Amino acid sequence: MAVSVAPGRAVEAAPPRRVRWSGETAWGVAFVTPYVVLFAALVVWPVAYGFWLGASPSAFATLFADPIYLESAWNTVVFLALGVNLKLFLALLLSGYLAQSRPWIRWLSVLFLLPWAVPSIPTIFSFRWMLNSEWGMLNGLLWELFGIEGPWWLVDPQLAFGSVIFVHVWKYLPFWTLILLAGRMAIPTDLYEAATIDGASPLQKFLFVTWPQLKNLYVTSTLLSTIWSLGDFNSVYLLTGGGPAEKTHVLATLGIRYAFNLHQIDVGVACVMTALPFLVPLVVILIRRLGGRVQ
Amino acid sequence: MKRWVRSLLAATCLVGMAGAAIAADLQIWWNKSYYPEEDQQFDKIVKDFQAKTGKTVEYVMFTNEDVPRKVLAALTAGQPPDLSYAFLFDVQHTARWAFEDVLEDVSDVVETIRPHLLPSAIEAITLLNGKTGQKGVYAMPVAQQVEHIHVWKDMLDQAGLKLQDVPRTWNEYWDWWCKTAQPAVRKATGNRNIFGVGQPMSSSASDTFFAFMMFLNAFDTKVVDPATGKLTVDDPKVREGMIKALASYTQPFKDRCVPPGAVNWSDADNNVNFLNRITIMVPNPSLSIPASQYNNPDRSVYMEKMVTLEWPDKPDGRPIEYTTSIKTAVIFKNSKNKALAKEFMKFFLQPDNLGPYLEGSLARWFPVDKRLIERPYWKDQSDPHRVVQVRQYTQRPQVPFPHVHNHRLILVNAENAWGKAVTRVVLDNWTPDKAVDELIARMKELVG
Repeated sequence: MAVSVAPGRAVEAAPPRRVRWSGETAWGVAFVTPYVVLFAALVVWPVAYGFWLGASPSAFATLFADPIYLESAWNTVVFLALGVNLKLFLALLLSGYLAQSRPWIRWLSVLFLLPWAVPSIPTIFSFRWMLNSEWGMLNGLLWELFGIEGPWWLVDPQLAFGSVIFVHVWKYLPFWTLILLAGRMAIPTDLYEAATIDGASPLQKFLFVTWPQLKNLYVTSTLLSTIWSLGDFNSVYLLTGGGPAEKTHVLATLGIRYAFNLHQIDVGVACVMTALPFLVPLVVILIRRLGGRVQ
Repeated sequence: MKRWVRSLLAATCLVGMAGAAIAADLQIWWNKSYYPEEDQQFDKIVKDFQAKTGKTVEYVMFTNEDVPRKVLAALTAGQPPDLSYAFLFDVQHTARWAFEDVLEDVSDVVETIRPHLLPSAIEAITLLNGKTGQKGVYAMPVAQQVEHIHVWKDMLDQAGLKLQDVPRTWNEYWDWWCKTAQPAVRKATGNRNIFGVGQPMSSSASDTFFAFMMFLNAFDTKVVDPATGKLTVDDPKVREGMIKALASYTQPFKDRCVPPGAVNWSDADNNVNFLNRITIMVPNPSLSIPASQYNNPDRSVYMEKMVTLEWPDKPDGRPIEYTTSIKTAVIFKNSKNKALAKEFMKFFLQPDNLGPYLEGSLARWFPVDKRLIERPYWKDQSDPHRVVQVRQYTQRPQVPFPHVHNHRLILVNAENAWGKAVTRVVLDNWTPDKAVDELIARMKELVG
């Protein structure tokens, strides 16, 4: 950069200026610095590193040329569309049931929460063993009780993928039921009392009192569940491992297969990154909705 | 404020120094065994090495599939361990890493035992470096494995069948397990869920391609030219052999004498199904199945009820070759303490150390050092499984895995394109011809 100096004026080296912070500013910086450092280390760095790992165009070319990727992407769409909506719809129904004020309902609620509270590994492995074609409990019961050969649950690709969706719904249904139950509890009871006085039927109470009050929570829960379910690795990996014949993979498990079974970490990262065009708008919508609620 | 910053810096330095003080001189990532005896022997070797050298060694053990995954992540991060050993390295990584110049040349380590190594071991560790264009020694051979066959003899006894009745030639052999043994044992036991053959059928188990290699051998099919390292799959005879091998491999499943769940099996599942007496016979690429019963208080399980057999002869009656896998330890170019890692491996590979280590594996692995084969443990004629195993290794013809001749075939193993072809036939009802054509196309894509 060129520096012009006015003629006839001596150029004097300016003494270095020491920035003196006020005590308040220094304390402010001291308090903010740990958060900035943590944010950089735990958010900026991993995300940037991930982008860097999956930045190679050849990784995307490899990915898109692999027929397993297209099948897995489709599986992911079906998994989200069926799994999330079925789960949230059932949660909506069950939250209504559990919102009753009978004394034994509390105990039932505790039992109902167990699948969500228990770690994934033992529970999903139990399903894997129950669904075993040869010696699983389900086919054993079918044979003992009805004398019929049960289907090959985890051998037939369609049944295996259906089982994955079932296990996902079973595992996470209690959590979303709890969320929607909390939403129902927050609805003022005088609204129901007024509806009763007006002679509203139970369906009308649901349509004109419950649903309008719960709608926002339901939609927000659906968005959040979609984002979380996109990264649900356990339901697929522990139940089928992506098999048989790699036909039940979703993007989360396929990424691991590329990275650690096929030794192509760049392709694995690229695989997961292909979900971003879907994921980022969801996050933006969710944040906007939450922001709107706060305002 | 200044004092505060100084105190923080001092504390950081102290923490850093403490971390450096507790870091060991040598970091090892090792494959965890199925049996405590093997791990205990390794621990003893480490302690002896520490006592001898005064150096500290820290080792971590991971399961079969986890060692390569951890190492791969560490390599990506530029922080590999000083030394690592995994049962799956040779079939999934070693040759590729050597080609990509990721591995340290360990010829000085191997030189100390070279005169005693089997030729197959030297062949398997002499690998091409793609950067230099030269072959070098980039891995250290620890053990070897081949396919065995195990049978529940007591189940055959119950059905009134004798091992002597099992045919020796290929097609008749597999037919016998499906058409004679399975129905007879089901009838005798009243259990409709017993299967004749425990053949791995999944694309996620390395056991699938270990077994499939034997089927290729049965039909004299070499997918790579040992001299040039080039694929031979365009040769109509090779394609024909692959089709016959795949048809033969998948026929028992189509005949419903393999458990349907075999299409989802991981490497341990053929063991589990056999040990649960769901299958009468099982192929397995090590003696891990009888070894698991070695310490069974009911000695009859190991000594009488379970039997190890050689593989049948080829369809034309000639003896089959056994595809040998050489288990390798490696040191990475980016390892921090390469000299000490080499010193450790020189120590580890000495007969007095490696011998008891392999014997601790309860014969799951077999030595590649001729001196170890002469130890009394392998000469023991009273062990019914070891006797057959020693015969397989020392008296039967052996061939290396195809990837020894072309490192890129490791990609075919890693992707388990072999298993994929199997599932095409048994799940998608493709003909073996069509599945082999897809396999060949994929091999060409991966290998070039």
